[in-house]
Amino acid sequence: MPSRRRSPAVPLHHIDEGSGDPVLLFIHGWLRSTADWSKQARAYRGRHRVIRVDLRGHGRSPAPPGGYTRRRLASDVAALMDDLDLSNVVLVGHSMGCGVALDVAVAAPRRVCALALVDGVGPREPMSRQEIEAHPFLSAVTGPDYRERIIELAAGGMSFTPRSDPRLVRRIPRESARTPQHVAVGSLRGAVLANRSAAWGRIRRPILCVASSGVRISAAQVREVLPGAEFGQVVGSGHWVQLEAAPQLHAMLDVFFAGVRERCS
Amino acid sequence: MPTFTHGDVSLHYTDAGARDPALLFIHGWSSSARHWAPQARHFRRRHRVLRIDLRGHGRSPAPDLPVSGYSIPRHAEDLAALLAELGLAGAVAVGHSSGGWVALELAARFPDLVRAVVVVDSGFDPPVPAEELEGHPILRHLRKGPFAEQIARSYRGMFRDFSDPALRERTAAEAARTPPHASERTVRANLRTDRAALARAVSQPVLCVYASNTPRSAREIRELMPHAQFAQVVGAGHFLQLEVPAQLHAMIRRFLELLPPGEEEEA
Repeated sequence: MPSRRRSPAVPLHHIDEGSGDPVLLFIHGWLRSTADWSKQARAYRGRHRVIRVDLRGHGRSPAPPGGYTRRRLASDVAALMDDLDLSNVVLVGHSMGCGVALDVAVAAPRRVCALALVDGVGPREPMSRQEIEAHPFLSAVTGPDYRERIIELAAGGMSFTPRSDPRLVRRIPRESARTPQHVAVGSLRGAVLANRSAAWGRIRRPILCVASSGVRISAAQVREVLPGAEFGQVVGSGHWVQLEAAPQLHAMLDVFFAGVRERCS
Repeated sequence: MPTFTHGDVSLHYTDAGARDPALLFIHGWSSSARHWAPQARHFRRRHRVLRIDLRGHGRSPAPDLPVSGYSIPRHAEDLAALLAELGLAGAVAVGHSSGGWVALELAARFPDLVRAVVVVDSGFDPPVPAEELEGHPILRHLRKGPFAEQIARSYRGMFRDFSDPALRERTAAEAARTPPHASERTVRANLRTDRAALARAVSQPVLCVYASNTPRSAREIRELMPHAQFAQVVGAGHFLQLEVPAQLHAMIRRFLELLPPGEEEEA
């Protein structure tokens, strides 16, 4: 297959384990890394080829000065799929990684056969450039104290529940604060807050959306953004569903993967 | 299957496993304890698991009682009598469909017996006014043909186009064996009940699990029961406990993990 021109892509650090179709490719969220998917890798690498990527600037991938828009993050992943010549891939995204996964499906439709999106698709109206620039998260991470502010952001709001595992509540903000500032700012502006694309509604692939337990959106609202998407919601989990409610998520993914098996082989 | 007697009625139930909290599974309209078989297999290793055939259902007798004899309060009183006979307090009541309303009634009226409630795909409609009852779609449907066939037909409609056809037919055939008078009187009693009021009356922790095609949302459930948790499974219709048991089990286990400790554990 001739390689398409998607320059300049960043070679992404990734972990490639197991074998079996469909290939599962996991995409983490803002300030996170392959580590967020450790439980899924353990659960699925016995039956599937499981690939976890570190997005540009995250984890162990290179952190060039720019290129942190959702589309650029996605084109790095699409370039990796080209390099590995993957087809029939099920993309699994978390949070910001959901928008990235949807953009990957738009950019490389022949390689992607289904998407599972964990706690990343909301009913929010797209934000204007002005609204993005005025967002309180952005002013928080552009200052000199950005590491402290990231720790506050990652620990607050809807991230955890009062019953979340305290080890996780300590670990995730601390790890997140290690992200270089230009990556945090660039991907917040270009991928977290730029949270909608008209092209998503035209993706003709099975999509599963799984919500954490604090989310108040309905299946119908999700379908306004992604027509035909399946919707599931777990019990007793904050934002990191894949770490806090792995058994529930896996039971949902098992049903979803079984439903797409024919189409994805 | 052991029986216990409450008033004039001897009811069948199953009892397996040992550990607290006990889980009491309550089936819905024209269903039976059979429709909780995957849950009994899964949970009896970790909990005492009780399943009952409500009066008029499964192997329990179907006495010729008026509609009030098949009402949600009567079913709940049967369950309270069973728990009392077994000396059980602090059970978790798990009800499917109209069994969810029985679970809520049991929890509201006998708070010492029930520590928490799991409601599986139950709606919370207001009561149907007496003058509109005969014209209600369910009763009209049941009058359209032989009762057993009509029940089987409505059961088939509770599955999705992707559901396992063998499971769908087996479940529908089992439902069709329900004695018509018990089935019809239970429906009449249910429709006349304010089911939203049942939800509002409960103060124990509640988990509401919905099928993948539910019209209900987390927002709606929280408006009715501010302390309730909402969950939704993927890839199943109304009988989600048979179609996607692993999802329901993982949800119930997480709900149980997060329950406030019972009195016996605090002591």
